[in-house]
Amino acid sequence: MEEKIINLVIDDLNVHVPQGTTILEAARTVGIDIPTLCFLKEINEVGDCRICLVQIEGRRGFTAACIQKVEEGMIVHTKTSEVMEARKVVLDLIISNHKVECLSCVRSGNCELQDLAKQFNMQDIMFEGEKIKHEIDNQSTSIVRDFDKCILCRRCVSTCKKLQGVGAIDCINRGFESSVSTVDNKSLKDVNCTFCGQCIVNCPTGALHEKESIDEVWKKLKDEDSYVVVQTAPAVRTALGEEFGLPIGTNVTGRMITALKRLGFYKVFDTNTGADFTIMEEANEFIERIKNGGTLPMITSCSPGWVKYIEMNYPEQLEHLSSCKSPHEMFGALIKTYYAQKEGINPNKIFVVSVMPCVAKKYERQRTEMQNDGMYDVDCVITTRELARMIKQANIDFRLLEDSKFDNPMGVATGAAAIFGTTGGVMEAALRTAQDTLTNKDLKEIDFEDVRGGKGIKKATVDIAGKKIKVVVASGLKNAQIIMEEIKNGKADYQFVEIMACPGGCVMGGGQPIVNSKTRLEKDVRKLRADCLYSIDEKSVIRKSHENPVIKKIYEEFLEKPGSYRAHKLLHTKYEKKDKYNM
Amino acid sequence: MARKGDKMKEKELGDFTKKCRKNENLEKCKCRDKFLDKLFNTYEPIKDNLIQMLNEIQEHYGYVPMDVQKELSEFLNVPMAEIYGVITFYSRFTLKPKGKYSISVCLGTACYVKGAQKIMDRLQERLGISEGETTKDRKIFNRSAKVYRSMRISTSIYSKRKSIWKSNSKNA
Amino acid sequence: MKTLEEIQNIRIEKRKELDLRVNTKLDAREKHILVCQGTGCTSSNSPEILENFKKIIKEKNIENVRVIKTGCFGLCAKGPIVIIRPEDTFYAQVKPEDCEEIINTHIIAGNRVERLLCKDIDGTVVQSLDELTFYKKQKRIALKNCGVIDPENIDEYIAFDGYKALEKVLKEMTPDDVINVIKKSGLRGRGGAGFPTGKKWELTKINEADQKYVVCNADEGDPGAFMDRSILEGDPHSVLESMMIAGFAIGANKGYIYVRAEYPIAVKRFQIAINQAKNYGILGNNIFGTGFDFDVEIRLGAGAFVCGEETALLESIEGKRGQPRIKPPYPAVQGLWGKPTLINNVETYANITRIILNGADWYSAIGTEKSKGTKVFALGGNVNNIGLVEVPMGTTLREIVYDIGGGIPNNREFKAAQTGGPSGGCIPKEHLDTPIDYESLKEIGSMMGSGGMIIMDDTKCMVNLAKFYLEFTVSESCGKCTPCRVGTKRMLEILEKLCNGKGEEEDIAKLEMLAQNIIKSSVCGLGQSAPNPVLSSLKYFKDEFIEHAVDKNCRTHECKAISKITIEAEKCKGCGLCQKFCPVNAIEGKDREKRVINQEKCIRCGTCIVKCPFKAIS
Repeated sequence: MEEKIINLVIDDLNVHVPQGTTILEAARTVGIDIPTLCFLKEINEVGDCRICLVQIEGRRGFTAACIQKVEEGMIVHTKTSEVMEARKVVLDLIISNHKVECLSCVRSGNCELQDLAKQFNMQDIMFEGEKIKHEIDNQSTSIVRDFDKCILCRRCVSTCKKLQGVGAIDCINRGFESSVSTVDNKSLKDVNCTFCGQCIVNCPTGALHEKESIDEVWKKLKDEDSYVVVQTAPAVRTALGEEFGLPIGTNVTGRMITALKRLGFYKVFDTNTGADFTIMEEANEFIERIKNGGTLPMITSCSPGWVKYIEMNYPEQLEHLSSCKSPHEMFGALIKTYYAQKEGINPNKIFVVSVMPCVAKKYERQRTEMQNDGMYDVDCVITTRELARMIKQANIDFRLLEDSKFDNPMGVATGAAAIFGTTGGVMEAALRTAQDTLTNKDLKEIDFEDVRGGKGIKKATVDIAGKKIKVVVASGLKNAQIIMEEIKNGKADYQFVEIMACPGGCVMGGGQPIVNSKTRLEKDVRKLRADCLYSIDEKSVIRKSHENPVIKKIYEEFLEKPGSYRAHKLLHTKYEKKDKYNM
Repeated sequence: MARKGDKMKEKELGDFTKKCRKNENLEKCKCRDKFLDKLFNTYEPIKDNLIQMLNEIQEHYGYVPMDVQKELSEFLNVPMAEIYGVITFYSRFTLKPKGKYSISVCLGTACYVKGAQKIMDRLQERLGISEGETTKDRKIFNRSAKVYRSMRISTSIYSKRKSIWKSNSKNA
Repeated sequence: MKTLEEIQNIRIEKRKELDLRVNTKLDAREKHILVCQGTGCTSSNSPEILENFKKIIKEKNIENVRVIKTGCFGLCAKGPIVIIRPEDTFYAQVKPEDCEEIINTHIIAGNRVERLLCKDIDGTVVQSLDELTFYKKQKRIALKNCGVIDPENIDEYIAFDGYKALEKVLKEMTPDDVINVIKKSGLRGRGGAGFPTGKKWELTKINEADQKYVVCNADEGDPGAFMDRSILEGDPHSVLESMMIAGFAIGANKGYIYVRAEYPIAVKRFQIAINQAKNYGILGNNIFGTGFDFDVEIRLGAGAFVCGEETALLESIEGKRGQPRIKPPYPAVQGLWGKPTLINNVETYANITRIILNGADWYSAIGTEKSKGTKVFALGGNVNNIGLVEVPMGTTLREIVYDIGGGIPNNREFKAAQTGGPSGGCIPKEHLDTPIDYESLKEIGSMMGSGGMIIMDDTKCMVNLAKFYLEFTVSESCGKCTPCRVGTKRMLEILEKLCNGKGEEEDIAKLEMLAQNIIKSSVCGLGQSAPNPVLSSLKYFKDEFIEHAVDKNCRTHECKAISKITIEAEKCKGCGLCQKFCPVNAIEGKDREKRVINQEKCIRCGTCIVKCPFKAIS
């Protein structure tokens, strides 16, 4: 069917756009930039904040441009003095109930409210009055809620409820008393929150942010008695540059390593190497399950938000979950055993810091299962954003840094591990190894295009050693829920499932640099960051985990083989039913 | 859309309206499981029924207890935060037990113009509680009274005044 | 189940029996004692009165007397009301213990109980209902059956042409015919904005869908209005019948009525009406053998004013927080569960059956050019006859206040009338002669709203009143959009400042500017109209605002923080009574000297004003 074109006039300019376009989008086509605040494409299209008001001739009152669809012959004014005044009053009112402590706010400089205030030339607040006071919730391991900074745009609510299907937070009360809250204003640690952190990256202000661990890291770095070892997740290197003004999707691996070394870390390792171990173990587990009639489909377990979700919502399906720890946990365990042994360091003195695109990893780190001989595998998790903050604190001009390489003896990683950071990547990496293992060949056809791309659920059939294997890749917990319902109701005809809690995978994780809503209208952030990972994969000499010499060596010297007793002890874990609510 | 729940409701209504006011010892309340069983058998587990079910719960307990919210959340497969959001949106639902006697002061326009606010102020002064609160009565059974505003039962002043003072004399 | 013929028989037979209810001249063998069971009278013991009558009649074995519960008679200030028909004797403020005397004196001995007879404003004793000035200028269409029939008895409803309109529609008319009649009648929505009802029906009809819904909005939110409640309590079947007619016209077979849970009597009576109609086969499948199916369910509101807004109401029926949706799409296109939905309020529906039976021309002959028919107002505040009045559109405010309402009590002066509740505005003295309809009210800065009408005398402070309405909207705003959520709060804060003597003149300009912007920027009707009470007060009573801001004085003493109480030296006789009663010893002066108030000590309680025998204090 041909798209119907609608003709309208915006600020005396003739505009022709397809039916179903909003006024906001239509205006953008002719270079009119209507300000927005609550609007977040495809996630929060509600028209509540009223910053994007425009005047449509023949209508009384003003209309929200972000959701109003164009109509034939519509005449729209976006900058009459009445409209400008109304917008300014709205912004004034929003600020009048906001904490306004920009100087000490974690989002200062990357705050959509601050940007608007600048854009509107707000010099003083006309309507000052009572502000609603909330208690700060900083009790969870991962997310801090400071709702005195909340402007009730409800992006977080839509994210949690609609995008992720979790619903840990919602609007409560009404009128001026309205706020976003958990049930009975409990801490996030006591409710069904998975700590995916998507609410943080979608929050326009500083009302939601990660629980910061920077000070702990600084303290350890200054402690001469500690060996502070850092590892960085695949998705960090595609996004860290954004914090320093580099284009989205810039690969900054080399500069990142240099910066980490300058910060004073004893060794800088690559979580990708851990990811290669995950593939070895996971592919082995999958083959075992197929051979021995284990529970199928097998579902990946790298995403801690996802793991918490299934433990809370589908505890009777936990058998499906792979017993593999996530890459950085595996790697942490190996650092404190294999590496410590090899270097002759007392593992108690090693302090492992993981730089992750994720806030749920902060929760995962302190799970009791993630210990070995009374030591946590990983001692501290900081997000990509926190690392950027540390680099800035240390007066390092990131953009001018030279490249460095990861430290040995664990400094080699494959292309398969790099793509772990995007949805479909774990699946693709696992298939590469499973394919070679089952056929006993070194196959060249290793790009699995069907599992790539940004779709929430991707289903594919792959032919491995004459066997048709059906696989599913899902990202975003709402999509995970769809798959879990299929499994629960016996409708799953597939054998292997990859699930990541964040829509798009780790590149879009809750710990990644925050991209404002306007940029997200213009750019496909997920694709830019994911493409960076795929290009790292493509450029890699070794693109299959089982061919990684470091992996081979460590199995030889230390772990014997995938699934061995020691591998199980160090690299695998178990799960248990968790209550959604602690009342 | 067929809603089986409502047809059954007509028959069952009588049973539901029997109130349980063992507010302090809810866990020990014998009727609790019976009530919830009946509630969950009467309504289908669809989200549309949320407000109707909350009305029944409020009617039965005099408030919506937290653990009942949790069961409701499981029954309807609706997150607790959402249920909590609905409860706090509607003024009829309360999260805390109401007192034995409740005093409603009509602050509808007609009553307001005739000085209802003065009555309200006086009551608050006298009982030492503000709107929406319950007194900590030191009587033997630890009964309590509550002032809340029922905004709109606006009718002739006479009847309203009478009922205000009637309930007042019981408590004060 | 009843066949159509059986229903027609009920209509004829029962009507004969009930003729004495409407025909006062009838020389009937029977007498009917009508006891009002509306919410107002119920809260002052009318159920006990009803039971007492029944008991006494049974004890004394009196024949040919029936005790009937009815809906509201309208004159709530005189409640509990008992009316004896056919002679139409009006007993006011009856107590349960009066029943015996009424039976003995009136029913048995045939004499009226003089002391209980209603007195008109001028003090004359009223012998029968239609002598009351309160009723003289009224025209009852929506309230036709209220106070005439027993609302819990379907036969009585049928006797007064009940379900005849439905029969006519189903048997003789097409959906388009029905819509044309409603359109031609000129009926407009009685819930507030006055959208033409026929057009609304047409817009809903033209949207094809596998399922459509008819919704009745009985979430009467205006704190000063109670006509919808009275209609549901007094004549529930007429609303039910009209919903069915609407269903037929737009092609829906499912209806919901959304009633406030605070209206328990209305809910109960409507449920009884549904059950009775189902038993008679009037509601259900294949109604009157025409193949038309219809079913109605009650949904209880849970105390949120905003749910009177149609899209918020739909959200609430769907079990969610009652937050309005953005329009368009309108409910006629996407309503309940995304299906085309017709929403009208109770009073609108109450007019439908009468229009169908009497014709569009009959209806459009009543009222003004653009506003047809009658409107029910809930008259309250500083007026003698508080109650429910139904008048033709175009009746002037003066007629309502002085003729029907009987004027202002205590010989005080009329200051303003507030219509439209928290969405409306006030009408000052100079507009007393404005004929009331949708357009004229809007023109003078108020609105029809659902029909609350509060009369204020000169003791009322307009700034304080504006504050009262703002307090209401602030606590009832859903909190969805910024202008309403924060804006109304900021307006209230400015008004509080003014009332506490902390305001400045520039605050008034700020208030007005903010108000205008809230109107233009809010999502729904609540926010778009919330500033109206403030703006209209500002329009007509700006001097009072300035007085509050600049002089720090409230002339009515309602704003205690800034009202100065003074003693007029000329009038003071030095009796010292004020001094004796002053709770804070703020009044100074000895023996027979003239007294003076120490303003620093004075807490403006007003006790001295009341106590002064010479009216020297104000």
